[in-house]
Amino acid sequence: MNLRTPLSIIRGRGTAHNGVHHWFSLRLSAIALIPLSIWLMVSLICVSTADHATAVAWLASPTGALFAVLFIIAATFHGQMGLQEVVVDYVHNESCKLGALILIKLSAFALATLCILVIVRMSLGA
Amino acid sequence: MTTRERPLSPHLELYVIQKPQFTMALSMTHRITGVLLFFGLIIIAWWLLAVVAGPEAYATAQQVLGSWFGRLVLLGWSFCLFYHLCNGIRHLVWDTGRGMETQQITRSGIAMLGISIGLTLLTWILAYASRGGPT
Repeated sequence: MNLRTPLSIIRGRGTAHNGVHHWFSLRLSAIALIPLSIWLMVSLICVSTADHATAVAWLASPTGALFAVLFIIAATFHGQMGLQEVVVDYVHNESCKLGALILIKLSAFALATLCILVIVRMSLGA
Repeated sequence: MTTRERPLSPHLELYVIQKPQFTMALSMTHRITGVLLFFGLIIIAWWLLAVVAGPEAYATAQQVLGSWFGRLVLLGWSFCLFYHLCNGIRHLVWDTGRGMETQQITRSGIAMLGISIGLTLLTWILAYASRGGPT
């Protein structure tokens, strides 16, 4: 007889050992990235050949800074989870898998922090 | 007791022994574009650093990105973004349980590919038209 509750049996399932949480978070950030990436492409069309002052003004404006930070958060969050999915599907050596996952998660975090700091610096006019 | 080899997901062998499939190629491209877009974030971070570093660094960054190689990378990056965006929307529709018939999948795949190529071309036409081409 198994005394474990159905919830405890189902928890932590899946290749990411994370149940349905990973799947849901990936979709959630994907939905956020639909308007954000369209905003990014429209902005980049306008700013692609701009001089330095225009680029600074774009990123320092309240909407520019807000959308840029939102894009960076959603993109790095979505990206590290997407890469995690690829790694757990194709890397079968446990140590390599763990190493790759650590590298992915930490670099995504560092990348996000770096970009946000730069945007905040510009929007505060430092 | 011997441990049986557990099946792996995605079950690539199933497709590799048959002739290459259109749907499979699109699915693989989705993952490849996703991975490339993550590396694209490094370019975005580098460009942001150039903007904050000042006019000289920014001019260098614009020069690198405006070179033929820079433009080629950006062209690839923009296609990756539109492809991953359009196919991502296709995935979200599938998550609701719709459009899962073989014929529908093939049709939506062709449409998605066409739209993503179209959006990439539109972006570059608009970028060139608005400023007379990247410097």
